[in-house]
Amino acid sequence: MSPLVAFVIRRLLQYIPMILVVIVVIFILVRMAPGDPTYILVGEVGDESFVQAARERLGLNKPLHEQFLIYILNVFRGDLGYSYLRSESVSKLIIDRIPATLILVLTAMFISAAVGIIIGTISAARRGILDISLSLLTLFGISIPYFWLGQMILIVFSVYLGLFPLGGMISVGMDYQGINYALDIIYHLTLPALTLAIFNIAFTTKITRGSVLEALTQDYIITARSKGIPERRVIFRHALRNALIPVVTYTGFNTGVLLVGAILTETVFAWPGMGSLLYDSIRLRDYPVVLGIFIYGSIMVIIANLIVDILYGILDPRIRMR
Amino acid sequence: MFSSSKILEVSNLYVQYLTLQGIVKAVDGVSFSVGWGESFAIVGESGSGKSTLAFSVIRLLPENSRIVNGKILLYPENIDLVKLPEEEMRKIRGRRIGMIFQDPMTFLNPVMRIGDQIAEAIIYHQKCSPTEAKRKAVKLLEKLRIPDASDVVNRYPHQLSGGMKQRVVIAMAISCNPQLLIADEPTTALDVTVQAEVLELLKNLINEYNMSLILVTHDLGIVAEICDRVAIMYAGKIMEIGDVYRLYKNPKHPYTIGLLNAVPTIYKSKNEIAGIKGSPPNLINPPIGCRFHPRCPYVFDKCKIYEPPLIEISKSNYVACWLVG
Repeated sequence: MSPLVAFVIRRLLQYIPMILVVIVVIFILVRMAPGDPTYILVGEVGDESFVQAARERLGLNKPLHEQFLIYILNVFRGDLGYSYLRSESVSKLIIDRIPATLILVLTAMFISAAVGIIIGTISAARRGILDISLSLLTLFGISIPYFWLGQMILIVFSVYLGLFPLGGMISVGMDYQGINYALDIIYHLTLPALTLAIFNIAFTTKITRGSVLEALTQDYIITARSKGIPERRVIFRHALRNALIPVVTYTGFNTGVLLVGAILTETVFAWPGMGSLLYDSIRLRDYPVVLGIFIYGSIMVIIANLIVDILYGILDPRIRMR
Repeated sequence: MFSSSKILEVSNLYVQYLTLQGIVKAVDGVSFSVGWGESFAIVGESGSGKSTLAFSVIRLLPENSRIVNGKILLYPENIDLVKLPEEEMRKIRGRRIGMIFQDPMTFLNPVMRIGDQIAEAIIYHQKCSPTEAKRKAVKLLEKLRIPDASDVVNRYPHQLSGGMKQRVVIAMAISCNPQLLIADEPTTALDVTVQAEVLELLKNLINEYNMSLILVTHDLGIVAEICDRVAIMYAGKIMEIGDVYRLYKNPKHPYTIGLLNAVPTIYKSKNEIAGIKGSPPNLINPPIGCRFHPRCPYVFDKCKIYEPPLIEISKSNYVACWLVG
């Protein structure tokens, strides 16, 4: 077995207890929230016997710890249960929504990493008025909440300027194929991805700037300059290369933040991903779907961190995978 | 050993650091010249401005410093490096002037392969392909007697020993055949046995390629081993310049005498080794008159008011002391 495979397996095993804790915490939190799915199912003024029947059908009449035990055993058998309201299995519901969320989150991640790293590096290398204005802009970007930013972007670019669609992922009824299908998705993706990316661009810029500034004070930068290579190369090849580790760490940690941001962004832009599904499910107290999404979400965050751990080894030859 | 034609001439150089405490006058009116193929040492205690002087020549001073006045002329073209635009200076670094640093642990990029670090200067200055440059890097390492050079080029700095790393630093400095090499305490961070090897290597390279050397050190032993001439620096000023042989045998300046007395040798008994009393002055407010006067055993009234000029006592021997001349 190659060391990389062994490393990945060892890490995954370490994550199993973590997922367990996530399930316990989320189970308790969701149940602590006020509201009752049975009333949503049968209506507020339904007959009490209907309510009882619904409770029995959903298994909500059993004591909470019993419900938890049943749930957790099912999870380990790979069964996340059925949605209370959508008469479909939770896994199918989520898996259908994963591609949309992945497209959105990965696009935002890619944009923010690329733009943030470039702006942050330039900001660090060229101090002065440019750096100060960029720092102010990043502060602005970090401070704006997603839901407000999303609505403003929507109002300006879609409602007033009419440049982009109001929401959704594809143009309904157009039945595009091939390249047109992809272009249609990009057309719909632009605004939500931008909304989701702005905070991250700002944050990545800040972290990159600090990290590059720190790297520029190191002795090997003097060595690089003493060779007479272009300053561009000193900054990007020597300083940035050494500064990337904190940036990658942040990007990994931030997967969770992005997923949370996706909930709000998807809701604002009617993007058919896990986020809007979660939003609806919480509103309707669809417990199994809520729990299922959190489990899938945690797994995504774990995978992201695993990728970060592997990237460390590539970025810094001094780090050996253990 | 050295001809009369110069490769570098520093005249009346002033370098200052801006700090929160005030302006530090690290180099304060220093003049000297280095001949073709000559090995020139700059010796002084820490804080005497010797490293600042070396970094001024290749213009790699920290951001809070500035060259206030003076000229650094590079021959044969007579270019003033102080006034040279950064883009032109870049072409001189690495190609005309190479630099060796003190600590090979921190002066090598930890995430870049040895071969790439050596090759990049070659790629930029000699306009050759990366493959060609890498081949040259292997040759350089072989020249520096590194075993398995073709394997070492693919390694990272943390996989090499201190002595090997310092050889890599040397390889980088000489990769484009510079005429002038500046070495800032090149052996200070190394073990004693490794020091000797690296020095020997440096000495051979200088002779073989007929390079000029500016060696910055506090170690008078090293100076005796590889240098032709030496400048003694104290508190930002040169106190004495002379042939190594003359200076060791017949030091003129009280500070030089003090420094030589502080070097332990096998011929001295233990209580003969004497430090210089007191400590180097604060360079924000240096002493008036001769900078050394508060510590000088031969001090008299004139020293406290007037600064002694650097006067020529014989060909290429200079002393700045009121007792002389």
